[in-house]
Amino acid sequence: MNHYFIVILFSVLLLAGCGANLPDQFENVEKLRSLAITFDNNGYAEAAPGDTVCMRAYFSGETVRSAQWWVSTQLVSGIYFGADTFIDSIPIHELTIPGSYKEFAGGKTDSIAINLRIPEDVIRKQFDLSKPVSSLLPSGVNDSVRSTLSVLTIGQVFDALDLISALGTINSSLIDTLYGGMLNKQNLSLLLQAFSVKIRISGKVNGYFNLKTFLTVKYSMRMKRVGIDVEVNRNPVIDSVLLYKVFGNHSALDPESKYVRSVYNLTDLLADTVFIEKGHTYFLKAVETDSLADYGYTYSNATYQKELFVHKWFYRNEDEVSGTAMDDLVKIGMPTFDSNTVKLYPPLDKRMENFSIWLAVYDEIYGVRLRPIGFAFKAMHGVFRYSEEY
Amino acid sequence: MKYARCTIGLLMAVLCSLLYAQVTEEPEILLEIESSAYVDTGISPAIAVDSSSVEIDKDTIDGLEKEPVLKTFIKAVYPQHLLKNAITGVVTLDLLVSDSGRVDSLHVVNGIHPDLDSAVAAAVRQFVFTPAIADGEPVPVILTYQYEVTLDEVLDKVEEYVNFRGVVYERGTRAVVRDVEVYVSFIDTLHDTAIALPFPVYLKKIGSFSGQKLEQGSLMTLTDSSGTFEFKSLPSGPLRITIPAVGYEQFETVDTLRSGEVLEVVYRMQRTSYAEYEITVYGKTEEKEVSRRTLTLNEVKKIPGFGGDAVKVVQALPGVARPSFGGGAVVVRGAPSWDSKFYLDGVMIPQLYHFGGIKSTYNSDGLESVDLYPGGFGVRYGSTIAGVIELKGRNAKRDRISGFADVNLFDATAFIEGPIGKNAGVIVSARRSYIGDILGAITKSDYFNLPVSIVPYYYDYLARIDANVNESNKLYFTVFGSSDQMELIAPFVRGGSSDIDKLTDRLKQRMSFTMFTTGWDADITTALKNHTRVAFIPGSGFSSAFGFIKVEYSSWELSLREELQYKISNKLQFDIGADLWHKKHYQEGAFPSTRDDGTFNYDTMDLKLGLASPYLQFEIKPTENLFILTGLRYDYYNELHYDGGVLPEFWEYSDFNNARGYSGEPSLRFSLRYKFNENQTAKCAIGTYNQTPQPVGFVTHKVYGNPAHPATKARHLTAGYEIKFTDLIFADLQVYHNSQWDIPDTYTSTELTENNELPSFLPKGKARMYGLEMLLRHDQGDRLFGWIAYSLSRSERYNRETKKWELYGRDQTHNLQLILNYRLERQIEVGTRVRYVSGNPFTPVLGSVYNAEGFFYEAIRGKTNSKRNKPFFQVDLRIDKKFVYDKWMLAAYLDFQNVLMFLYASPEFTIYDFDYTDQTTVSAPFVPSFGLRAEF
Repeated sequence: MNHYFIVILFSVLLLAGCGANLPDQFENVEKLRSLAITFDNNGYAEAAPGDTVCMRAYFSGETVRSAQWWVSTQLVSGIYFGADTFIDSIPIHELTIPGSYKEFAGGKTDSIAINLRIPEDVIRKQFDLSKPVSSLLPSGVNDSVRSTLSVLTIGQVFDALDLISALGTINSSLIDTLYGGMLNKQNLSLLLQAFSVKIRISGKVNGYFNLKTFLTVKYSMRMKRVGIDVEVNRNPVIDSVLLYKVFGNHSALDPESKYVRSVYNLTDLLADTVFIEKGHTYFLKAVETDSLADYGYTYSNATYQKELFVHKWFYRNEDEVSGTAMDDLVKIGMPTFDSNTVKLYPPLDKRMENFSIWLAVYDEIYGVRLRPIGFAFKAMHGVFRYSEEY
Repeated sequence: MKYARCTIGLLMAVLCSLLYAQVTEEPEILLEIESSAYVDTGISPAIAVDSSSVEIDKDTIDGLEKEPVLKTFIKAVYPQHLLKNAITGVVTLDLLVSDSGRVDSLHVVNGIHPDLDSAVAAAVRQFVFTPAIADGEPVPVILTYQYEVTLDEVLDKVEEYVNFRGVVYERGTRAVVRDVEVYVSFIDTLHDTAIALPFPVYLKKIGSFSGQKLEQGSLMTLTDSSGTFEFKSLPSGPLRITIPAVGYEQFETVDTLRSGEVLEVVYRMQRTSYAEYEITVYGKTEEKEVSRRTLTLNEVKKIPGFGGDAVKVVQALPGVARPSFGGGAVVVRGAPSWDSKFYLDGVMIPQLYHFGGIKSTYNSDGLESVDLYPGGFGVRYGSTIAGVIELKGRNAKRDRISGFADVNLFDATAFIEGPIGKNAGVIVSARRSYIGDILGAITKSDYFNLPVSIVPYYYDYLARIDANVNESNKLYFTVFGSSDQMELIAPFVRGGSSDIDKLTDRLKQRMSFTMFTTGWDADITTALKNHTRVAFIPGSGFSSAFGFIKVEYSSWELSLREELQYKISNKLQFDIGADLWHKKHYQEGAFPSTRDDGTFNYDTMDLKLGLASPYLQFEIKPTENLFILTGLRYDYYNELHYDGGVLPEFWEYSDFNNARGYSGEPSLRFSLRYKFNENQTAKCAIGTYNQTPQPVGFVTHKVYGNPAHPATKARHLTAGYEIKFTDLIFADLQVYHNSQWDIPDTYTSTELTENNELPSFLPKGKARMYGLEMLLRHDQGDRLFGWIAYSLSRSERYNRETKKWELYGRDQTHNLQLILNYRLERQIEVGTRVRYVSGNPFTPVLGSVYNAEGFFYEAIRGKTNSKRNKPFFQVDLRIDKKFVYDKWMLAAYLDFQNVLMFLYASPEFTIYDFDYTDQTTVSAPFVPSFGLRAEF
């Protein structure tokens, strides 16, 4: 008996008191699930008032038979312990481009695409325009901007932003003349964060599955269009998802390792085949275009930070195999937060052959106010084939 | 020659005629022989040996004018060979005393032994008398002389010297055993051949020496205050020593005393039970306060489930809710922990328990008692609207240096105490946990290979010096500190911003403080007493969670408690006092904006909290049976900025503007006890209470709070009845109704819609708690102690949104606890704790909404606390065994919490799967633990 035995015995006794039925794994898609909702505004993840964005919602687990959507644009915020509350609910058809509502069903992944037109007044109506703008400015805005803007109301600043965006093409000297050189990239970024709002899109799918997501609306896109250097978040792009087959038992993937036996490029083609052998470790690796990584200024400290890509993996055993324990089916390990790889545990039951894997990637910088979240989504399907000795 | 025949009774008049046995080679042995003489003279009847005792037979003496008087007495020599026979008696002789006073001849009339008779005769022949006078002339006379042969004279010469001494200690503790009887009996009475006397005679003689006496053939003496005893002039040889004493197993041993030597011994007595080392009173209602419940220690440390921590035992008393997983929450009469105050010797203590409530921060072994006031208490305590727990530190034991080392599953402790000179003592202790190391080993073990690592630990330390300056003044000084640290590393957690914390994959916490306290108790006169407590408490802390939250603070507190008690008469005493408290708290923090906009709020708090609270309390005893405790207190809060009340609020005055004063509140409290007889007492109390709104500092925060928030107020109504069934069995029944108002509450959605500028906290929260509590206790008997505590209660909060009263999250309708401890033989004790508690209320989940932005499901919840978990039922067992060695003891215990877990899973809370469609109940685990404690 070694000391581990005592430790284990103690732990088992302790854990024995916990619930016997641990929850299902979030990543395992066994019933109707929303896999991702993306917003695309010509490659960007955010919208300005009046823009049209394409919202795509991806589902699996159950065929989408119906879906209702609402949009809420009127937010009342608490300060400390009070929660934010949307107090309006608009049927989505009032904001959609006629004919843009599309549903794609029939495969392993269903999706819905909607072209949304953002109301022009969506930002203005969430602010008290008569208030001095100084009440909104974050600490990261420098003193000269603060003192200059302190004489303005929120409405006047909106007017100025509208004026700039109405210029069509930027005339830098004009902007400098108008604003005394205050609107450098940092200050403008912070100012645009201060005037950002979010809208909520709620949905009900198949009559019972409730979901919601948020879209940030800000003036950045308008500034960008007139040529001002301002941070606008782009959606990430998943170039590929590779499945590494590595000889031996490994806890982490080294793509350059000599033990790498095979690399499969997974697609949504059902014919993709992965050959499973005993004594190997399998890893999934997402490959994104790093050049699409954006930056942002944190609201309070104005630190300039690069976004991180966060990966959410989903999977499903597509074959109905009776009498098989969950642990014998395909599983995906717990990824480290900032890692683009994850361990794949092939099924132990060789009767399970068809599988689906989905990857949703989103970008993130904590501390940037109402940062629009960029999304990318990829669905993959394939077949496991097993060696005899497996 | 005239002969006169007379009989003179000398009796003892010549003081005892003594024979000296003069033996050439042998040492002189002194034996006492009593003698008396009868004078018989035919010539002169007036012969006297001792005029005071002369009896003259007038009929036989003609003309006797003066009796012969013995001038020279010669002691007879007791024949050496007869000493062992111890022959005593009277030898009667007829003497012919010549007119010169000499003994011309003699005749043994009645003898006791030929050799003794001869010895007596030889001595008597040498007697010289004054001649008898008859008719003015010396005349010879014949007299009868009785020579009483005794051994007294010989015994008087037995030398008194100490040849056996020893010290009696308590086995295991080394405490001296005072005032107990030590018996010596003699196994071989013939061993000491140097004793010429018969053994019983010798024994009787030495039994008369000071400090020892003969009892039923054994010599007995007492140990003195230092446990020392001594015997004198014991004969050599094997001795059987017996020490019977109440509370101890009878001590018996055999030692051998060698001739000419002094035997010095150390004896160690075993107590019948070491649990009795301190007197234990628990759960006992003190006579002045209506609801005070006192736990005085040691026995309560053996109650299962508390890890030997006496402070946690308050959770087993009526009025205190069951905390989840045995944690440290102290929910008194349905009020959250922050509504209660915790004191150490009258000074507020910053932290009662270490993280998770595993142990109290103050080492239980340094405590004298723990007092729980669940409500209705007097004005000596303020700034609280629920209960009070007061720890009372104890003075060091001064009889010796003692201590212990304790090792158990959670931590290790070293504790030592002892005297400093004659009038002072010191306690020093230190404790550190290693539960974190155990958990770390678990998480890192190959078996589990958990993706998290946990590194929590705590330590605390205590040093206390107490001194009696003189009979009237006592001082103590305490340094007490505690530190808790915890780090949980979870690499898979989606961390927050590196702006908040560079390491976003972990949760870190640290909390430390040191408490310097001085106390001075002075009996100025017999009627006037003064108690002063001064404390300085620096502290600091740090907390960060996965890059989302970071709080770092430093603080110091200065506390003064002053109380003057004046006893005017047996019927009236008043206490006048004040609490002064100042706390400087500087904190820097960052936390996510609740506007859910991805940003963080950075905040700096520079708080100056203060309390100035004078109070006046009267103790009135108008009759023998009636006791009234009443008083007035005013609590001024430095951190509050509002118009406080001028009248104590017994309810929320809505029709009367009570706000005129400073930022404080008056309190008026009244309690009464009426004793029907020695065994039955009725009692009741009513009082108003207040405190700074909680959480302190946040509620009145200038940006995020409501700087004008008033104090939170409460009213306690309590009534009760005490019955003493026997000397050991006691019952206490109480009913109560508490109300609270001006509780900080967030705005409702309606209020927010109407006014977007509302402060985050409004003084509109209300609470009410009411219930019944019963305590039936059995004091420590020969073997058994324990109690049954039952609370029937309801705690509700007013929901302004729904305009309805809702259950408080810790409402526990029934809370029944049975505590039993039974002492077996051989220093074994067994204990059990059985609990039946209503399940905690919870808010049901009706469904969920998937948040596609954050990849998680949000619960849609139903009515707040409208459902309740299944009842909690738990049985704990504990076995203590003490191994007692001469100079130290080893105590071991096994403690099993929730032994019936496999039969009934007591729910603690419910967890759901990721989309809230499935749920499971997390129940209290089975926790076996053990501990070892070496005491010396």
